Amino acid sequence: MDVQIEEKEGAGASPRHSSVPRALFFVGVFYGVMLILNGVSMRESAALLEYGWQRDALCRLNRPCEAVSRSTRAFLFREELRKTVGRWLNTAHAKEGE
Amino acid sequence: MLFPTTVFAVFFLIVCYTHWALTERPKTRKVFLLAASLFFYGYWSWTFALMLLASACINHGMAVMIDALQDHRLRRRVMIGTVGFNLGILALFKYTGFLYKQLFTPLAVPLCHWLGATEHLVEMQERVLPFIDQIVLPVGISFYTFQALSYVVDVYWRKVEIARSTLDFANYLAFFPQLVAGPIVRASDLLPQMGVFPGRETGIDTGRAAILILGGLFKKMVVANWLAENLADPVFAQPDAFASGADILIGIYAYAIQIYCDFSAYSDIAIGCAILMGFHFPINFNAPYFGVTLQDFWRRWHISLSTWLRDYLYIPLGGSRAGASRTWCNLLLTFVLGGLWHGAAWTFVLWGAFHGGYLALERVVRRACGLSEKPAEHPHRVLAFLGRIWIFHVVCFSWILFRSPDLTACGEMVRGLGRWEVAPTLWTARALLVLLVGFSLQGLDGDRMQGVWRRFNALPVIAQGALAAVALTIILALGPVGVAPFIYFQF
Repeated sequence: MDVQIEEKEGAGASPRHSSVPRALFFVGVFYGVMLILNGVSMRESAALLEYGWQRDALCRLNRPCEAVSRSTRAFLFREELRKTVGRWLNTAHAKEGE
Repeated sequence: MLFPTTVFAVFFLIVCYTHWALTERPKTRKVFLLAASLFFYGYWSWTFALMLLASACINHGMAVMIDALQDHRLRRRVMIGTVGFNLGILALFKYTGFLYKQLFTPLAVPLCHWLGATEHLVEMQERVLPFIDQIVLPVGISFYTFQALSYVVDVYWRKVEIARSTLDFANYLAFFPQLVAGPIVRASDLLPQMGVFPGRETGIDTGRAAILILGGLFKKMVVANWLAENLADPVFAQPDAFASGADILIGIYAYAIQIYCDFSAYSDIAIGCAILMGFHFPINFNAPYFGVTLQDFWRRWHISLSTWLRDYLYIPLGGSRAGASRTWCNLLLTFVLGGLWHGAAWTFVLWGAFHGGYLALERVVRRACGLSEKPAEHPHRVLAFLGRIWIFHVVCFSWILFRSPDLTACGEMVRGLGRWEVAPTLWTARALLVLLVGFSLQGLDGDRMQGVWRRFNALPVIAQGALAAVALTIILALGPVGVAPFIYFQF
């Protein structure tokens, strides 16, 4: 088995790497925007979990995100996408073929 | 804890920030990372987390002993004992049922009948079978056992420095991004990073991390889940329900793309998370279906496992140094054991034997045609294209063995491929689009997206974060409701 690893060192060699504070700021912005865009859906997903401390904790955690998401109406972006492209993609596939 | 869930998102945020906040306290940082990894693993079962910790302590203790011993024979015995211990634990959890039901029972029944001891056998079965059925396979045990083995053997070969402490080794073995489904990162790659954690001066390639994590989530949540739900699972579950061979064929194609998207997604997300924490993992997939020969495929598919099998099994067996027939035997044995590593079933044994046998055949044919045993770096375009199509279909055929629950189902799939009288029902524009997208996602592997990483890194941080969040939202909106576990969790 002449399998030879091609350790692509290039895989970590992009010339403009971020400093740690910059990377952490990136992570923070990512989480912030993600929560605003997905607050409503995350709250709905948490509500679907089995009853227990995890469900309670996630629901409580997601409540402020849901409020921000609703007040900014940012949740509509995901909702619209889900209702259009998402629904087209995920309706039962076999029906289309029959 | 699954990657594409809110729980993991919260967990990762806390761990990533705390990990970097503790840069001035190296010891606390290491303890924190180990605790976080054990929490990640213990989220499934605390018993498994304790087992992992015990494995780390025992393996490091034995490695220290191997390193300290001067007597070569004694070192060798301790090394073999440690390897045996690890494989024994793996066998207990993974192969007890298979060995008992598939090997022991078929041999014992006629023997006991001949000896007139059938009653004793029945009594024993009544005692043993409930115990076997209670055994639960700890998730990811095959991955961390192989990592531990690589460490012990490398210490024996003096290829790797002994870990500075059990804490360092435990962090190497339990590091949460790669713990459950790889990549199987070698001690020589990760252990030095666990010895001296990345400091504040470390450069983080946020572009690469973001593309890997988002690409991985897209592969898993949109493509792999869709293909599983709509094509692969229905076809493999009931091949007889599909009257057309074309439907069976698209089910097999779908599984080929699904398993690539599913498994490489896990590796990508693991590598991306590790990057954000300042660690570097080697790549695990490099556009496998672009392989022009099966050997080439194995250089690109699950690289960490194929190189592990090469270095710790194939080469110690003699590799290709001991003549043609011995090489073929070594290939076959390596791949049969590689197949068994995936699971305790005859289908996996045959899958391994198929790959080993084909690789041996490939060697014979290349030699007969006067070609070198390794494929050319830049083969002729038309030949390369034809080679890719052929190898993709060879691999697809092997996935029938891999995916089928048993040999009967496998036979039904193969028979189903012969029915071409009825018009297919699964060949829709949507199915072809998802298959094409899934296949094209191989373009994300390796350093093919280096240009995109660079452009992403050049953006202002706020734009980077916002763009990544929007991309994630699109992925979440396109994916079906719920999260299916990754295929490789079962191995």
